Amino acid sequence: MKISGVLLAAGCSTRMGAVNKLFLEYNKHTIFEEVLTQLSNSILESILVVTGFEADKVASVLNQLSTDKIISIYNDKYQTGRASSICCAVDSLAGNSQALLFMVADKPKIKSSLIDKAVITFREKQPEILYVQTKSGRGHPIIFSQKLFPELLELEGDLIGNNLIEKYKSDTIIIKDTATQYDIDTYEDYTELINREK
Amino acid sequence: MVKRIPIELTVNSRKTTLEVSPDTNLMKILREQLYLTGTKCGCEEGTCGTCTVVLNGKAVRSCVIKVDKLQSADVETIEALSDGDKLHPIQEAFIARQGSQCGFCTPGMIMSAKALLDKNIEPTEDEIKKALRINICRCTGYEQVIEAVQEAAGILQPDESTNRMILVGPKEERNWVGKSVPRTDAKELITGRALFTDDIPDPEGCLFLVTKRSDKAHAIIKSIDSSEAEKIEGVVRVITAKDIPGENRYGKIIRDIPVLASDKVRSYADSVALVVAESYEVAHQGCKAIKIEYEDLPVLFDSEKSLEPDAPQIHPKGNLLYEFDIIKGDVEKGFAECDVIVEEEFTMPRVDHGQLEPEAAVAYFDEENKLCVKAPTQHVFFDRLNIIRALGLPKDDVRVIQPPVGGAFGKREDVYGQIHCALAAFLTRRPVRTVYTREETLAYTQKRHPAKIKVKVGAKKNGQLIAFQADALTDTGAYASWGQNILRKVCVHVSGPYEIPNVRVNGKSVYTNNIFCGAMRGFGTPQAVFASESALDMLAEKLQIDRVEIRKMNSFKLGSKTATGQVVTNTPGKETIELAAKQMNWDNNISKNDSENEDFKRGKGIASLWYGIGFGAGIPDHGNAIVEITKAGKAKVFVSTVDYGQGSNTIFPQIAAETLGLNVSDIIMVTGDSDNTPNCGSTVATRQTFITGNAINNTCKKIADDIKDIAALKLNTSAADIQLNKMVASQVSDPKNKTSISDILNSFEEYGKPRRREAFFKGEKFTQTLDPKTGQGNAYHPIAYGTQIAEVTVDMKTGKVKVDKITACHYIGKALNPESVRGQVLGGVSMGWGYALTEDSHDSDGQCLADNFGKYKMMRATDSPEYNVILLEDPEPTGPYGAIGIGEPPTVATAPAIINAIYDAIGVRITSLPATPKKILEALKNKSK
Repeated sequence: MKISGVLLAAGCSTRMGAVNKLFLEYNKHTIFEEVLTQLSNSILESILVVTGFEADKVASVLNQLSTDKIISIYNDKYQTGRASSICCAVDSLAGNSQALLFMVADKPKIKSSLIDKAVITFREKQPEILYVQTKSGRGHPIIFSQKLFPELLELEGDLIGNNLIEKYKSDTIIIKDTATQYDIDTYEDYTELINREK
Repeated sequence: MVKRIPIELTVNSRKTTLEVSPDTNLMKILREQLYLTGTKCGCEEGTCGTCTVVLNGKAVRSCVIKVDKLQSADVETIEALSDGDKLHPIQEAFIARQGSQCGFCTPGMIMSAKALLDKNIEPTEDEIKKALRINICRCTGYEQVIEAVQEAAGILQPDESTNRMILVGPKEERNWVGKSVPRTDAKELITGRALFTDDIPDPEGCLFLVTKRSDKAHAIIKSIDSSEAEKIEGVVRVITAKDIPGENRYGKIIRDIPVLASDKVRSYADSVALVVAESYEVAHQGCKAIKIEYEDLPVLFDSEKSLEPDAPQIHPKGNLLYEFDIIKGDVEKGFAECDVIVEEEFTMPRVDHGQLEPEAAVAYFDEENKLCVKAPTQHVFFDRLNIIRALGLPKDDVRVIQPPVGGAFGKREDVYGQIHCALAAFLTRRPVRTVYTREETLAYTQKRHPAKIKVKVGAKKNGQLIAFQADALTDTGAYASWGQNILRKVCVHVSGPYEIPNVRVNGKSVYTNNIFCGAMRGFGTPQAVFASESALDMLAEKLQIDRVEIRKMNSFKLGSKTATGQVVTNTPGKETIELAAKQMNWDNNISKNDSENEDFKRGKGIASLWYGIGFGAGIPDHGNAIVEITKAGKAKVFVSTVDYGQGSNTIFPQIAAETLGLNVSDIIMVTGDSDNTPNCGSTVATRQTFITGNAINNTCKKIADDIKDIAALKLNTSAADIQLNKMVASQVSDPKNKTSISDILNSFEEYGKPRRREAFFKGEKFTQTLDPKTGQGNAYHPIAYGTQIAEVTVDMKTGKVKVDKITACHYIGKALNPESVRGQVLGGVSMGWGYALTEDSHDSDGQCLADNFGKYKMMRATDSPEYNVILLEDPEPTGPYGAIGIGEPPTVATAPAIINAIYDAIGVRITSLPATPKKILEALKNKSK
């Protein structure tokens, strides 16, 4: 079963103010590079990065990588919300993947080992959906099987599949992540993360 | 068209009439006209012996047998020896004694043995060695081969031990782990049935590719005129840089090697054009007809001049590829406290891997129009990555498959014909194959880095080491390959397995216009350990302390810090010194006989090594295994690991069978295929046992838990109370309460257990990125240790050195397959023997002049010493069943042990390898002055 990774990196970073949160410094490089490192160190064989906001800047980081795992695609409708990026990814990968693993580019604390655990569990148990549960609620990564691709294409705006998860509840596997998955939306989030690391 | 002549000969008892070209040879006739590809082609120059057959009762190298010798001749090849499953006694013995590793030399070796035993039913060891002298083996170091011949002759009984291997450590009985299980792939190899890349029949419409290389070491390419070549009948296409659809560069870490040179050439190895034709002969003609106009650039061959301000620039970013420093303590202060200090500079040459199967590749489109490439490689995914980049294709459009591989030793870390054949097939839409000649292999493919290492080491009067300083310079040649990582490994290891409070190391790796260098067994540690172990002997002499004693005294203790500040958590190093010294009776072994015989002087030498396994330094080091339980109750193990003779396809089934409670024969290995196996990283750095072995074991543990769950239900107990043992699941507290594992495997669905499980193992969690200024950090895990002692006799008249005996003690965690580990040790020693005494590519103005096995001298059977192998077991908690791996370490300490023994014998120190008779005579002359 081929599971492709999708990294949603098209968002506008609006809540952060003037800076693009992906390029804030983290672990001797940037948040975005940290997420990419964890993804490329994972078991996933191919990862599609969906770009949009400041796509040039994102592409220049991707061009530096020496791995055959990562390709990128530009979502010209990125301003309409996250669903347009999901559609882009499904369109591009539906032909050669039996499932898609979604990750977001603003959670640098997610380790490759968690991604591995998700992929391996999904391959072995073969549910329709697998997601990670953290103390504070549903986290990432989240995996959708091929069967759900048509429904993913129907998503709109920033809705991210809550309905789907409800609908396929009985065919969903939940794995737990005991670590906190900091979601860097505001500068306060970032400061808190950095202070915790100190 | 050349007139063909008819010949009649008997091949394998069958009368055969053939029409052959008058300038062909017996090997070509067998391989190309009779499809008897069990007879291998390792050189076609009569020097390697892989093509040995029996001709009229005599073992001959078939590549030098011309047509005139063949009329009415009687030829026997490897194919005649077996009949289906029925094997010849020599073949049975080769399996039982693990006399075959990669198997490329084995058919020839067996034919030599057969010719011998047909005439001499009870040969002495010397007679066997003499008979096998024409057959080079790069893997085994010959001892297990000789034992196989002895067993076939009835001199050794089956299972009779030669007492040449001792295992020291805790004893534990297991079903499969720790047993010398015969190699699972041995039968295919010893019957000649295994199809190495060049043995694969031509796909329909196959074209043949020959590489046109640079005529210059450093020059601008002004123009390439291929018009004359294209006019030759049979030349289908001439390919140059402009035909490459994707990226025209590839490489290991930095991509600095052009697929085909476009603007300039940086060494004689650079590929400039490819000629694809209907036959190799025509392709060679085509190559000769290509006209290349160059503009000479200043050349740089001396690595020491590489960083001078006016040195020619090989690459735009300058000639310094990489610089690495280690700073521990205060080395100036340290030397000020020393009572004795020695300083010396050591020089090591460029050497070749000498693997017997030449570089080869076949590219073709499969039924689904996917571009497939078969080639001997150490990492199918790396090859695929470079192919898709050069062709500009998505990775799903290319598949790389690894056939049996005839030795690797690091050579196949770089890619040779793979991209070229893929490119040619892509452009012509026809299958394309290539195979390098031995001359191409020795002259133009990657080598071990030549190095110059200056060592300064100081100690207190009592022998305690206080300060160590080294400056290392490695010549990576025209391209980087693994140059940075190799230099780092040199620097990390150069101060040895000793506790030294003050260490400063500076290493530089530089570009030159020489043939490029890369990975080779040891990966920089043979260079490092030769320098430091030689210097340590010089220090011991000055201090008048015994050489064993000084090593023991300074060995790592629990809690010692290595040069990079890594805290040592186990200390088998000292024990290997003690065991080796005791085994060869160091204190009372009378090695000097100065008064009796002035012409032959004997001596003994010791060297200790350490070797960090895996990529180290926090670099991603991944293994991934999938295990699938079949309905027939077998387990399929999917990994991309390449078994090129080291035995992974045998120890992996042992691990799986042990954990699953199955038999080794129930484990099916699926390996080396970019479409069907998960990526386990490259088969290098002695890492597969530890990394992928752990991944396999972790996967099997999950399945074993499933089996136990089901068994517990069936046997009405808890899963914790179940044990799995050779196809039986039983209750620990009541072993009579049992059930068959086959039945359980059959009913996985019933109990909702998945048939396919997977696990991932990440080695980088044990190490960390080293500090860029001081090199401090946890560099490697696990760490192998070992000690070797050489006993030599030097012929004072000729300067020739005979190595009489090597005692090798290696810490291996756990020997998963002791005979297989022994084979790795013997093979490693034989390579170290060559590094010490004979092997040298003979660099001269950017060319490797040693371009055949006559000039590039490797150990032959008659050179092989008596070996004594001691395996020190102490299970490593993080290893699969405690194993850490053994591939590279055995080759590391051999050269310094031999060189130190030469000094002991004749009082001259050879500081520049190899210690040829000429160098020894010169040194003797200088000494007497």
